[in-house]
Amino acid sequence: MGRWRSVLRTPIGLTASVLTVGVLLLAALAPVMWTDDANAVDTSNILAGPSAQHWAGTDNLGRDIFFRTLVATRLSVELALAATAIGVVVGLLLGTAPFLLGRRSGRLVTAGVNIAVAFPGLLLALFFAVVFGIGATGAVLAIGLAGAPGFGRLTQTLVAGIAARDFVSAARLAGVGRVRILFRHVLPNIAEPLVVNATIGAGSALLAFAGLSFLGLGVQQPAYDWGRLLFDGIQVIYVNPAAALAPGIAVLIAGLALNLFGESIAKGLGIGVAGGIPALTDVPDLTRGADRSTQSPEPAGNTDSHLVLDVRDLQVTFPGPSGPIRAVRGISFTVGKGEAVGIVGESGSGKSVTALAVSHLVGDTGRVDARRLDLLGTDLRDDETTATRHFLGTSLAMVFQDPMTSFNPTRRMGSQLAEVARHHQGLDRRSAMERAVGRLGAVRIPDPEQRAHQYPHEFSGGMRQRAMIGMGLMGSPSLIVADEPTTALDVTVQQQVLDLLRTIRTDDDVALVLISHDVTVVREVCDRVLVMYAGRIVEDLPAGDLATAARHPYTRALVAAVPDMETDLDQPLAVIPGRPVDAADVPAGCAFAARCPLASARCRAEDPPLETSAAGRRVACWHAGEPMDVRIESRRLAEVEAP
Amino acid sequence: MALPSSAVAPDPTVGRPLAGIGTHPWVRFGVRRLGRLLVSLWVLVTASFLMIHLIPGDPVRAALGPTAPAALVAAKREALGLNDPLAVQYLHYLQDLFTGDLGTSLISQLPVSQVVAQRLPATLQLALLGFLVAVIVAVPLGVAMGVATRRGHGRRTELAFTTTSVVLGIIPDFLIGVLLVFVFGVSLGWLPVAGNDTPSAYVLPVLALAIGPAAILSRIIRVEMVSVLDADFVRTARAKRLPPRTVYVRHALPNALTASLTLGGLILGALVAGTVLVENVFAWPGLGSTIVQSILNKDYPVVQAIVLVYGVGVLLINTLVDVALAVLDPRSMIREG
Amino acid sequence: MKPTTRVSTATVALCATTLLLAACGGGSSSNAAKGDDSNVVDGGTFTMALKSDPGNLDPQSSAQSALFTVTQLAYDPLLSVAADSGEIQSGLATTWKEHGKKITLTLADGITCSDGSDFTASDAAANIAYVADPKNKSPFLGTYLPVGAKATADNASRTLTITLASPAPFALNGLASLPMVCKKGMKDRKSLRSTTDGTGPYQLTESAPGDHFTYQIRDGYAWGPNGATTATPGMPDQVVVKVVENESTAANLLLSGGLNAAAVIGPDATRLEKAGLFAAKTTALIGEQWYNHAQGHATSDPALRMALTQALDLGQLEKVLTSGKGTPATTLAAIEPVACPGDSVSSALPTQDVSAAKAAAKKASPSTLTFIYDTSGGPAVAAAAELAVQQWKAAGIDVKAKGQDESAINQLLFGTGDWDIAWVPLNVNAPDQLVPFLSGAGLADGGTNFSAIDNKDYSTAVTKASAMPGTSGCSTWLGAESDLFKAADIVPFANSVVETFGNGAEFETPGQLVPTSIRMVAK
Repeated sequence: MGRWRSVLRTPIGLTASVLTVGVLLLAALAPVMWTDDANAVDTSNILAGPSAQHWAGTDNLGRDIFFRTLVATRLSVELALAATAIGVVVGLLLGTAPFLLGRRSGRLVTAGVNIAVAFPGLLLALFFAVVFGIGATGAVLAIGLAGAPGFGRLTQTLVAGIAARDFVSAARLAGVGRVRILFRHVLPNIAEPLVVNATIGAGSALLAFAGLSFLGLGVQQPAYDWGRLLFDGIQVIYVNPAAALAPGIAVLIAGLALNLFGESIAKGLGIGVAGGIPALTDVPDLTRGADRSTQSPEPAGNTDSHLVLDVRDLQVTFPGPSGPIRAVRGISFTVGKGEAVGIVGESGSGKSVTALAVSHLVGDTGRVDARRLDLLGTDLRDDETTATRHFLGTSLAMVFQDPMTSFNPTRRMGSQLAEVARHHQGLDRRSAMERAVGRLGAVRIPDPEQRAHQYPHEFSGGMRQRAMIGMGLMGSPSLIVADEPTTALDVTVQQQVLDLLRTIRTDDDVALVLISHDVTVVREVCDRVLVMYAGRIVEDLPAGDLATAARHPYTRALVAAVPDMETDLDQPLAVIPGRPVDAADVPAGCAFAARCPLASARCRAEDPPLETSAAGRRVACWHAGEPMDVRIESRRLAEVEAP
Repeated sequence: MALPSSAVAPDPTVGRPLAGIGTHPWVRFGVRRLGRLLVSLWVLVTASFLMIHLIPGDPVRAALGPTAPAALVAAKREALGLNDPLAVQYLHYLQDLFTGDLGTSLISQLPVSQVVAQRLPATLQLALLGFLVAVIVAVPLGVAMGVATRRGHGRRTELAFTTTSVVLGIIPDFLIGVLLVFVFGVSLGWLPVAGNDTPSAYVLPVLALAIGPAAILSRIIRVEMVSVLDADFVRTARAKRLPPRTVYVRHALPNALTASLTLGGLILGALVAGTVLVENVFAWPGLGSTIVQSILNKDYPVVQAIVLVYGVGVLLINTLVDVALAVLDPRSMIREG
Repeated sequence: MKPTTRVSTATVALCATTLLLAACGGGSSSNAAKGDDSNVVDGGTFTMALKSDPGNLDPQSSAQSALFTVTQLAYDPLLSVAADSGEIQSGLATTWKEHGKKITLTLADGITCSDGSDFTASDAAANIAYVADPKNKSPFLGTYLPVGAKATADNASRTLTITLASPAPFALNGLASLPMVCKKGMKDRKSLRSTTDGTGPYQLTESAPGDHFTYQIRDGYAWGPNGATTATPGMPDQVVVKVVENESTAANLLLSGGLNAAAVIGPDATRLEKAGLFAAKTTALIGEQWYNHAQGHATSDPALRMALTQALDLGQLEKVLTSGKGTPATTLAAIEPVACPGDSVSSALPTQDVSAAKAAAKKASPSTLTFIYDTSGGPAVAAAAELAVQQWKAAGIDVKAKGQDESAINQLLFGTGDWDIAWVPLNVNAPDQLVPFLSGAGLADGGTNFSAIDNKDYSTAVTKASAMPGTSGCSTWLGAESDLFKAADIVPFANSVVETFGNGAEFETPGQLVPTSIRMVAK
């Protein structure tokens, strides 16, 4: 019930409901009250214009058009409802036939319905109007049957959805007859969407009827519905425009009301609308409401000129349904020339957002604040200019996580690579394509000339990822930012991609920022590792020290959680108990405290700062390096003592 | 004896899409699509043949009336070949269709093909213009709206646009036509409201025909654009630092269109059918006004022929849409079936 | 294979529905230009609207009004009739003499056809022979040319002698409606379907069936109605006849200048009047109710017919039918120039008596009757029909109204006969032209008495009047009509003024638009 009430809350839903109720009331009451007024012939007042006694003027017999319009409501609504009923019933039969009849006949019915659906309703209606004759009965049958294929298709889809469910299979296995299943299980479950679609269908039937009567094929004299009134009215539109406008407006209001009413219910109940035409306000969107968060400043670092990337106090905030979401809460790091820095963390740690932020790809919805955000000397906090675009397009390469969706499926691979050169390096089409083919070869894609003319779906996942890297190499990048580049790939393919990255680094001295949740990958490829948790860097250490010299409890737990060749197979796998922090709701104090075995009262109250040690490593923990007892840890780790 | 590895021929089809023309995706697609078109055409032709035979009672009697002399009815039945068995009639019907003989009008005694040939150009003009206007308005509008209301943007714009386009999409074309007649013809007197004599006479009918489909199409395109703009490959395009216009038009739009095309095809098919209503509002001398008159007069051969013409038009549109879809998104060729 | 109907529908006489410009009757107008001479513009193109496509252009093949309109552009009749006085005037023939059953005509000198050849008296005789031959199924036989007429010619004296089988008082009027075809066309009849071969002031130069027909003026034409020529200043060089089915379209085109002339009788006429356009007016019978007297129809019962007539408030129906602008009917032959003016209707028609109607209806107790009417009359006709049905219902008679378009009505009346009551205005200008429709052979016997009227009083009176020469028999003719009305065999109830509006041109429409009366004027 509450869902239905929610329909009334939107302004459109409310208006539509009120109007629909109004129309129905009018249909019921108008003939009772005003039939005599509507039928009163007055031949001395033919085709008069609107006046005080006749609000919409009079027709050829001097009858009041306004009252005729009101009284016509009943017939118009009745006929529309009758036609809808026919459409729904026949549609139900057509739609449940495949389920009842079995595969072969069912397929025939489905094929027939599909062919019928391709034809516009009006054409079908005319066809049936010929068969059933003109007049109200013929028109009802015509419009009803014309709408049947649409309902049939909808019912088919709904039935198929339910039939695939487990409880139906169970019933079938238990030997319950198809008809029984249909009535007991399937129909009750599809009733709601059917009813909603039927309401919208009633609106369309009303409009269709108006159309048929307007053509003269529907209601015949002396009966009259809105369409017939329109038919009469348009012939005298120059003499008394109100004769056409009054029924026209009536049709409009009633049709709109029914349609919008149905669509509002659909939206309120979360039901899909037949025909696939998007319902009102389909796309979800975020409310605005950014909050400026402040962070305690981190100590200033050096402005070394062979820094490829220099980030100080980066914060990224997104608007959320119940307040701002602070995805990155003030991090600072640098990446030197040719250096490979890995960023690890669980999902929600802010590592991907960091990657986007340093690539200037966060977009309009998020706020990026930083005291410094330099890429090769260019300040990324400024607005993007053409120069910046060209610069970023050639100096920075991005590799995203999902190779299956990262390329435009409708364009050939070669042209997607060539695009970079054409836009940023001013190459003409041929040279750009040559370069693209060259890059494809450089990333070890076989037969690059052929491949360049293929579409992305013809590449395998690994090849696509390599092509992505190749696309980044169209310029001469100084930095590659790779966000989970191997997560979606097979292990063997993973290795190929990682090898490629390594080769590029060594050959061209290209820096790399590699984001991953997989510690082993990072350990293998990177020189240095940043560990992020809840939007903060909690540890910064050389990759080689990860297994042996990690100090932050979270880092140590991460490393311990990865099984290796020496893990005791008899013991349960090591895990980090608890869940990652919700970025919208970061607690005071150390964010890891709730899951940390070393957590103390101080941890829960005070957030530890990131402190730099002599060797250039950093860690943010009140109990850094203390011995800890990782629950259900492997034997090896239990004996490790922190330096 | 072991062969040297160099003598082993590489797999000829890997990376060589043109190898084996019979298995080329375009050929397979073309054959499948043509097959589907032919089947639908056959269903259409059969349906239009059956239309007359589905009429309860004797169609000749129905056309001539209960008191017509029996001899007349018999003669007409003989002339129309209605005494032959159904299958024979069907074959004759198909034969005649192939030779372009659509029968003779029961009312005017003129050959139906002549009637159709006379009235078809006006309807074609109207439909084509309507189609062009709808597409030319809907695509840029949908794209612009999509960009303006992409994730997190333009909430108010979205509400205004969606409401307007929903309302315009629901209002039937003949009502829009009547309103246009009233405003521009009767009240303001700027534009002609009947006939197709002057170029300005095309304005209102085309508008009436195109407004609804344009509204629905632009709505669909907007939604698809918004969804596509969120896709990974758009992020890639942005990462490549392409200018925004290139991202929207060369990357996002083709993908939004592929998703919109199927529905777009249905909408354009409905536009063609809409000519029946619009022609009657504007006294347009085309097939739409003829078919209504013929139905009222029970002139069945004419009705049959015009139903065929419209049906073929719709099927052609659907086929063209599928081809356009295949051109835009080659994956759809493979997905077919 | 052409369907074999007894009377081919396309050929039958329906000098029709007054919605159309023309009617059957060759009226002539004075040669003098109307209005200010200084306004007149010579040359130019005159575009006029035609409500439906004439189809087969053979002038003697059908008497549909659409055909009549285009026929008179390219063909001439032997005589013409003055609009105001009804006096017979010259056409192709300059002198005429009628004694008893013999009519002698002398053709003008130097009449040429559109191909340059001469038109001789023997050509005229051939025309008479053609129409007189029942095998040719010309609808003019019996209406404009009495049955059994024979013609001889003497080319030297340019004399044509027509011998009638029996005296026909309005034979000369009839000849004024009979267009003459030239030799070439007479030989190759089929060519006349799409081209013209006549002596008229214009000739067809281009045609797009269903759309428009273009005619070019013929210089040297000097044998028009009452001596009209094409040399008169103000005559258009070109006449374009456009098929415009919709009256609103025609009205719009008139206002915008796309048309120079169109007949508009529906609601749009008010618009045009308000715009101050030139209008040529003519009266026509617009409300005429026929009953189907044939066996097998309930309406073959005279008591039922009387009941149906008495149930109606004819004055109210007339008001609705003409949207308040019309007048009650006067005679059945009401088109200008009226051969027998007068009023045969008001004293003879049964007055409304609903209770009598109810009683008779109860006795007859018919099943539902079929009532057909022409929808091209627009909403006024439909409304009047609805009112009539209501009035019949009040008398206890169930009637089902069916609006049809003109061709379908033709089909029903002359083909299938599936009707009981019909509203079909049949317009002629001389009472004898109606005789084949109101008496004599029915459809089954190859005649045109489609409603199978068999009224002895009428037939007797007609025989008597036919023997009386010319207009002296008018009172008898009118009396004959009254006999029909008294018996409620046919019910005329409304006359209306048909307005033909002009923009940039003026003309006269005595029954129909006379080509030689067209004067282009400065806008």
